[in-house]
Amino acid sequence: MASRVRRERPPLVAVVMAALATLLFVLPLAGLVWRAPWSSAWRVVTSHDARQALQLSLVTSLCATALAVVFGVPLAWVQARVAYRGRGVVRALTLLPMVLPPVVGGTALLLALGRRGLAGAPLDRIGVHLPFSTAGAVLAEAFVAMPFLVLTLEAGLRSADLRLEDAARTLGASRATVFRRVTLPLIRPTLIAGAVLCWARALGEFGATITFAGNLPGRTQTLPLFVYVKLEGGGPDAAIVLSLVLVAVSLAVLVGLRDRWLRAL
Amino acid sequence: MSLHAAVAVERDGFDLDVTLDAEQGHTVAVLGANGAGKTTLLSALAGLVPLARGKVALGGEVLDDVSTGVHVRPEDRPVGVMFQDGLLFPHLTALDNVAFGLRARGAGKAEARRVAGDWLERVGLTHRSAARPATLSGGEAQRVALARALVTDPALLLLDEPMSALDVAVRADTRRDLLRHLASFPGVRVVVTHDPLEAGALAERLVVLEGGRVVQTGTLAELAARPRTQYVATLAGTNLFRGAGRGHEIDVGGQALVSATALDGDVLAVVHPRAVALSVVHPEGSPRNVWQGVVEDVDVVDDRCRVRVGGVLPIVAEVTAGSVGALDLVAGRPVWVSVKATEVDVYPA
Repeated sequence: MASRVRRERPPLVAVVMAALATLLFVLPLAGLVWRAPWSSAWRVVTSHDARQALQLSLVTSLCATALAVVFGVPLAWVQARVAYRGRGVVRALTLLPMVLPPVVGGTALLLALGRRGLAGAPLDRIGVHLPFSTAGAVLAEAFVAMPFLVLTLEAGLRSADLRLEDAARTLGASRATVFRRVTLPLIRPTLIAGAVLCWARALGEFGATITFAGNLPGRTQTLPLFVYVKLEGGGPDAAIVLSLVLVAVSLAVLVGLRDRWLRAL
Repeated sequence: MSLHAAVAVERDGFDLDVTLDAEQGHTVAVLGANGAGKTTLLSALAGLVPLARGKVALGGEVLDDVSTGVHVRPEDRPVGVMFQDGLLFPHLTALDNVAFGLRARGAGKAEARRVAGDWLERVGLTHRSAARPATLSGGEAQRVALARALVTDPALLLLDEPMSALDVAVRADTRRDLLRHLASFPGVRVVVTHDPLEAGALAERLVVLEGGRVVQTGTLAELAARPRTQYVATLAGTNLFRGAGRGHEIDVGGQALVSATALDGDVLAVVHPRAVALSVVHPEGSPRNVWQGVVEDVDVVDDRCRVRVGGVLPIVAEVTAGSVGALDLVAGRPVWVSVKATEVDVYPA
C-alpha cells in the first residue's frame, strides 16, 4: 500500500504577516536600487572624497577587528573556561555595547577617554589624544564590534569537546601547546566567523564614531559618516551609491557566513 | 614500576575512595556500573582531577600526594590513556594523531612521523595513515588510539571502556588484538569497564567498584563463586542472599534457607540459577528448600531461559526453553521453587 504524505497548507494569517515582514526588509533595499544613479555610479565611487572615506573605513575597521581579536580571544577563553564569581556580570558588561545605542556608547567613551575624562585626563597629560582622531575611530568601532567576536567565540569554546584537550594533556602537551595545537585549530571556523562578523559591524558603525571621533574628512570620516554628510548636504547620488556599496559588503558577509554563523551562535 | 594508588576524589556531590595496586606487566580491570566512579578514578590516575586525599605512586615516583602537596601535571606523567571512542583529534590525520604525543614532547615533525608510522604498522593500519578520524571505522579508530597512547612509551596504560564503542560483531576480534598488544606492553595496565566479560578477558584481577568504593576484588571465577554484593552477583549472573545464619539455617528476611554448610552469624548465601528447579505442583522430593512464588519475567539467553520468580523470596532460575513451554511459565503464573541444601553455598559476610 503506497503511503501519501499530505502536505497541509500553512495558515493564511502566518503567510500574510510573514510576507509583510519580508517586505519591511526588502522595501528599503529596493528603494536604494531603484533610485541608484547607475550611469554615474563609477564616477561617484572613484571621486577623491569617496575614495578617502572608503580607504579610511577599511583601515579603521581592520584595525578594530585586529584589536578585537587580540583582546577578545583571551576574554572569550576566560569567560568560557574559568569559573569565577561575577562571571555573569562581566559577560553582561562585555555584551552591553551590542544593545546599547551606539551614540550612547560614543558619549560614554568621550566621558571616559576625553580630554577631561576618567582615563583620558592622564592620557592627555602624556600626549595621547584619542577623541577626534583616527585611533579614536578605531576604538569606537572596536567598542561596538568586539562583543560580536567574544559572543561567537565564547559559544564555540563552550561547545568544544574538553575531553580532546584532556587527551592532549595526557599525551604530554602543556596547556599552551594544547591551546595552540588543539583548541585553536578546532575553533578556527568559529574564530573566522566571529572576526568577519566583527569586521562587518565595525565597518558600518556610525553613532559611536561620530560622537567620539568626530566627522573629520580623511581622519575620522568613515564611509557611513560620509554617506550621512552627502545626504544632508545635497549629494544624494553619492550617498545612494556608497550605501549600496555598504549593503553589498554586508550581504556578501552574511551569505558567506550563513552556515558557520548559525552553527556558531 | 608498579602502581600504588590510594585516591579520594570529591566531585559534584560524588565521592570516590579507592585503593588500587597493580604490578608491572599485569592488567587490572576496574569493573563498575555507570556512575560508580570508574572514569573519575581513571582521571585521577591521569592527573586530570585533583585529589581530595591520598597518594599516587608509580614505580617509586610520587605523582600525587595531598599530604605534601605534590601534584605532577598530566603532561608530565608517564601515563598513556586510551579513551572511549578513541577521542582522536578530528583535524589531524591518523599518522599525525599518533605522532602528537612525540611532537608535544619536543620531537621534530619528521622523526615523530617516522616513529608514528612504525606504530601504525604494528597495529596494521599503515594504509590508513592519511585518513581523517571521521573516515575511520570504530575498530580502526580504537587501534589508532592505542598506538597514540603507546607511542610515548608510558609506564602506566589506562584504558577507558576499550570495547564499548565497537559493534558487537567486531568485538571478539578486536579483543584478541588488544590482548596481543597489551601482552607485549611491559608496563602496568588498568582497564576500566562495565562489562564483566571484557574485564575477565583482558585482566587477571578484577576490582569491583560500587558507589565510589571497592566492594570486591579477585578473578572473575572468584567473583562469580563468592560475590559479596548484589551488583557483583548480578554481574556474575547468580543469586545472592544475605541473612543471619544459625547452624544450617539462614534467616533471609522471614524466609529460611537451608544449607548443607553450617555457619553462624552474618552470612552470604549464593545459589546458582542452574540449581533452581521449578514446578507447577508442590514438589515432593529431597530438596530442603521449597517455596511458592510467582513468575515475573522470562529472559532468553542463548538456548537457555532465565526465569525471574518473585514473591516471598525472589530468585532467578535457569531452565530449558522446553521446560518453559511445557510448564507454561509466563508472567503471573504461580510456581513452586525448589533448591537442594547442597546447592546453597554459605560464607561469612
